[in-house]
Amino acid sequence: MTSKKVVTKKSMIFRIVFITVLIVSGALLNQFNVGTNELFGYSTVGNYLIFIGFVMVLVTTITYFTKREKIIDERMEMLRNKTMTLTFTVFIFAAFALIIWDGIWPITMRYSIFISYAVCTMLLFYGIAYKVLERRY
Amino acid sequence: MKTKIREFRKEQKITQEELAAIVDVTRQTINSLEQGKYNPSLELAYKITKALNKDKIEDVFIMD
Repeated sequence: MTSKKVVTKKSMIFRIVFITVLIVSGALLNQFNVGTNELFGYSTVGNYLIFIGFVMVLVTTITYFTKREKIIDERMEMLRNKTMTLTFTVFIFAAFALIIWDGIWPITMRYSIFISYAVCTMLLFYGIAYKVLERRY
Repeated sequence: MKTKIREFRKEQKITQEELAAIVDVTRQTINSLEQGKYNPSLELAYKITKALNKDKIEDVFIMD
Protein backbone atom coordinates (compact mmCIF):
# COMPACT_ATOMS: atom_id res chain seq x y z
CA MET A 1 0.00 0.00 0.00
CA THR A 2 1.35 3.42 -0.87
CA SER A 3 0.65 6.43 1.28
CA LYS A 4 1.40 10.11 1.69
CA LYS A 5 1.78 11.90 4.97
CA VAL A 6 2.23 15.49 6.05
CA VAL A 7 2.82 17.16 9.39
CA THR A 8 -0.84 17.07 10.34
CA LYS A 9 -2.89 19.44 12.45
CA LYS A 10 -3.66 16.49 14.74
CA SER A 11 0.02 15.78 15.49
CA MET A 12 0.63 19.51 16.05
CA ILE A 13 -2.25 19.66 18.58
CA PHE A 14 -0.83 16.58 20.32
CA ARG A 15 2.58 18.27 20.59
CA ILE A 16 1.08 21.48 21.99
CA VAL A 17 -0.89 19.51 24.61
CA PHE A 18 2.26 17.57 25.55
CA ILE A 19 4.30 20.79 25.90
CA THR A 20 1.58 22.36 28.04
CA VAL A 21 1.48 19.28 30.30
CA LEU A 22 5.29 19.39 30.68
CA ILE A 23 5.46 23.09 31.56
CA VAL A 24 2.40 23.08 33.82
CA SER A 25 3.50 19.94 35.69
CA GLY A 26 7.00 21.43 36.03
CA ALA A 27 5.58 24.62 37.50
CA LEU A 28 3.28 22.65 39.85
CA LEU A 29 6.15 20.46 41.07
CA ASN A 30 8.17 23.60 41.81
CA GLN A 31 5.20 25.27 43.48
CA PHE A 32 4.59 22.35 45.85
CA ASN A 33 8.31 21.61 46.39
CA VAL A 34 8.08 18.11 44.96
CA GLY A 35 11.20 16.57 43.39
CA THR A 36 13.78 18.91 44.85
CA ASN A 37 16.62 16.53 44.03
CA GLU A 38 19.16 17.47 41.37
CA LEU A 39 18.31 15.96 37.96
CA PHE A 40 20.60 16.17 34.90
CA GLY A 41 22.24 19.30 36.25
CA TYR A 42 18.91 21.00 37.08
CA SER A 43 18.25 21.97 40.68
CA THR A 44 14.73 20.48 40.67
CA VAL A 45 12.68 18.03 38.61
CA GLY A 46 10.25 20.89 37.87
CA ASN A 47 13.01 23.02 36.33
CA TYR A 48 14.07 20.07 34.20
CA LEU A 49 10.48 19.55 32.93
CA ILE A 50 10.12 23.26 32.15
CA PHE A 51 13.43 23.23 30.25
CA ILE A 52 12.35 20.19 28.20
CA GLY A 53 9.01 21.95 27.54
CA PHE A 54 10.77 25.01 26.12
CA VAL A 55 13.11 22.88 24.01
CA MET A 56 10.00 21.20 22.57
CA VAL A 57 8.43 24.64 21.90
CA LEU A 58 11.54 25.49 19.85
CA VAL A 59 11.54 22.17 17.97
CA THR A 60 7.78 22.35 17.28
CA THR A 61 8.06 25.95 16.01
CA ILE A 62 10.89 25.01 13.64
CA THR A 63 8.96 21.93 12.45
CA TYR A 64 5.83 24.03 11.88
CA PHE A 65 7.58 26.64 9.74
CA THR A 66 9.68 24.18 7.75
CA LYS A 67 6.97 21.57 7.20
CA ARG A 68 6.81 20.01 3.79
CA GLU A 69 4.99 17.11 2.24
CA LYS A 70 6.60 13.90 3.31
CA ILE A 71 5.99 10.69 1.40
CA ILE A 72 5.97 7.47 3.38
CA ASP A 73 5.65 4.60 0.95
CA GLU A 74 5.39 0.83 1.41
CA ARG A 75 9.16 0.29 1.14
CA MET A 76 9.77 2.79 3.93
CA GLU A 77 7.09 1.12 6.04
CA MET A 78 8.73 -2.25 5.42
CA LEU A 79 12.13 -0.81 6.38
CA ARG A 80 10.63 0.75 9.50
CA ASN A 81 9.07 -2.57 10.55
CA LYS A 82 12.30 -4.49 9.98
CA THR A 83 14.32 -1.88 11.89
CA MET A 84 11.84 -1.90 14.78
CA THR A 85 12.00 -5.70 15.00
CA LEU A 86 15.79 -5.65 14.89
CA THR A 87 16.01 -2.89 17.53
CA PHE A 88 13.56 -4.71 19.78
CA THR A 89 15.46 -8.00 19.47
CA VAL A 90 18.79 -6.30 20.21
CA PHE A 91 17.17 -4.50 23.17
CA ILE A 92 15.99 -7.82 24.66
CA PHE A 93 19.48 -9.37 24.31
CA ALA A 94 21.16 -6.23 25.63
CA ALA A 95 18.78 -6.16 28.62
CA PHE A 96 19.59 -9.79 29.37
CA ALA A 97 23.33 -9.11 29.04
CA LEU A 98 22.98 -6.15 31.43
CA ILE A 99 21.17 -8.31 33.98
CA ILE A 100 24.13 -10.74 33.92
CA TRP A 101 26.60 -7.81 34.00
CA ASP A 102 24.81 -6.33 37.03
CA GLY A 103 25.10 -9.68 38.76
CA ILE A 104 28.87 -9.74 38.25
CA TRP A 105 29.77 -6.03 38.52
CA PRO A 106 26.82 -4.16 40.10
CA ILE A 107 25.75 -1.08 38.13
CA THR A 108 26.00 1.88 40.48
CA MET A 109 24.91 4.53 37.98
CA ARG A 110 21.78 6.60 38.76
CA TYR A 111 18.64 5.21 37.13
CA SER A 112 17.91 8.49 35.28
CA ILE A 113 21.40 8.59 33.76
CA PHE A 114 21.33 4.87 32.96
CA ILE A 115 17.97 5.00 31.19
CA SER A 116 19.05 8.12 29.25
CA TYR A 117 22.09 6.27 27.95
CA ALA A 118 19.88 3.28 27.13
CA VAL A 119 17.35 5.39 25.19
CA CYS A 120 20.08 7.31 23.32
CA THR A 121 21.81 4.05 22.40
CA MET A 122 18.54 2.59 21.15
CA LEU A 123 17.81 5.68 19.03
CA LEU A 124 21.32 5.62 17.61
CA PHE A 125 21.04 1.90 16.89
CA TYR A 126 17.64 2.45 15.21
CA GLY A 127 19.07 5.19 12.97
CA ILE A 128 22.11 3.17 11.95
CA ALA A 129 20.08 -0.02 11.41
CA TYR A 130 17.59 1.91 9.22
CA LYS A 131 20.39 3.30 7.05
CA VAL A 132 22.04 -0.11 6.73
CA LEU A 133 18.76 -1.84 5.79
CA GLU A 134 17.97 0.99 3.35
CA ARG A 135 21.09 0.04 1.39
CA ARG A 136 20.01 -3.61 1.29
CA TYR A 137 16.40 -3.08 0.16
CA MET B 1 12.54 -10.33 -8.94
CA LYS B 2 13.78 -8.75 -12.16
CA THR B 3 12.06 -5.75 -13.63
CA LYS B 4 11.97 -3.91 -16.91
CA ILE B 5 11.06 -0.63 -15.26
CA ARG B 6 14.25 1.15 -16.35
CA GLU B 7 13.88 -0.07 -19.94
CA PHE B 8 10.23 1.01 -20.24
CA ARG B 9 10.92 4.25 -18.36
CA LYS B 10 13.63 5.14 -20.89
CA GLU B 11 11.19 4.28 -23.69
CA GLN B 12 8.60 6.64 -22.23
CA LYS B 13 11.34 9.24 -21.54
CA ILE B 14 10.40 9.72 -17.92
CA THR B 15 12.77 10.10 -15.02
CA GLN B 16 12.74 8.10 -11.79
CA GLU B 17 11.39 11.16 -10.00
CA GLU B 18 8.53 11.58 -12.46
CA LEU B 19 7.57 7.91 -12.22
CA ALA B 20 7.81 8.11 -8.43
CA ALA B 21 5.46 11.10 -8.41
CA ILE B 22 2.93 9.28 -10.64
CA VAL B 23 2.80 6.18 -8.42
CA ASP B 24 3.11 8.08 -5.08
CA VAL B 25 6.38 6.64 -3.85
CA THR B 26 9.86 8.03 -3.29
CA ARG B 27 12.53 8.11 -5.99
CA GLN B 28 14.62 5.75 -3.85
CA THR B 29 11.86 3.14 -4.04
CA ILE B 30 11.85 3.30 -7.85
CA ASN B 31 15.64 2.98 -7.84
CA SER B 32 15.42 0.01 -5.48
CA LEU B 33 12.81 -1.64 -7.71
CA GLU B 34 14.93 -1.10 -10.81
CA GLN B 35 17.89 -2.74 -9.11
CA GLY B 36 15.71 -5.69 -8.10
CA LYS B 37 16.41 -5.12 -4.42
CA TYR B 38 12.80 -4.64 -3.41
CA ASN B 39 9.72 -6.65 -4.34
CA PRO B 40 6.67 -4.40 -4.65
CA SER B 41 3.17 -5.07 -3.41
CA LEU B 42 0.56 -6.07 -5.99
CA GLU B 43 -0.95 -2.57 -5.77
CA LEU B 44 2.36 -0.84 -6.50
CA ALA B 45 3.22 -3.30 -9.27
CA TYR B 46 -0.16 -2.58 -10.85
CA LYS B 47 0.29 1.19 -10.58
CA ILE B 48 3.77 1.03 -12.15
CA THR B 49 2.50 -1.18 -14.97
CA LYS B 50 -0.26 1.33 -15.70
CA ALA B 51 2.13 4.29 -15.44
CA LEU B 52 4.41 2.65 -17.99
CA ASN B 53 1.43 2.03 -20.31
CA LYS B 54 1.76 -1.75 -20.20
CA ASP B 55 -1.10 -4.23 -20.06
CA LYS B 56 0.21 -6.97 -17.84
CA ILE B 57 2.22 -6.90 -14.62
CA GLU B 58 4.26 -9.81 -16.03
CA ASP B 59 5.47 -7.52 -18.83
CA VAL B 60 7.23 -5.32 -16.28
CA PHE B 61 8.05 -7.70 -13.42
CA ILE B 62 9.70 -11.05 -14.10
CA MET B 63 10.05 -13.76 -11.48
CA ASP B 64 13.57 -15.23 -11.26
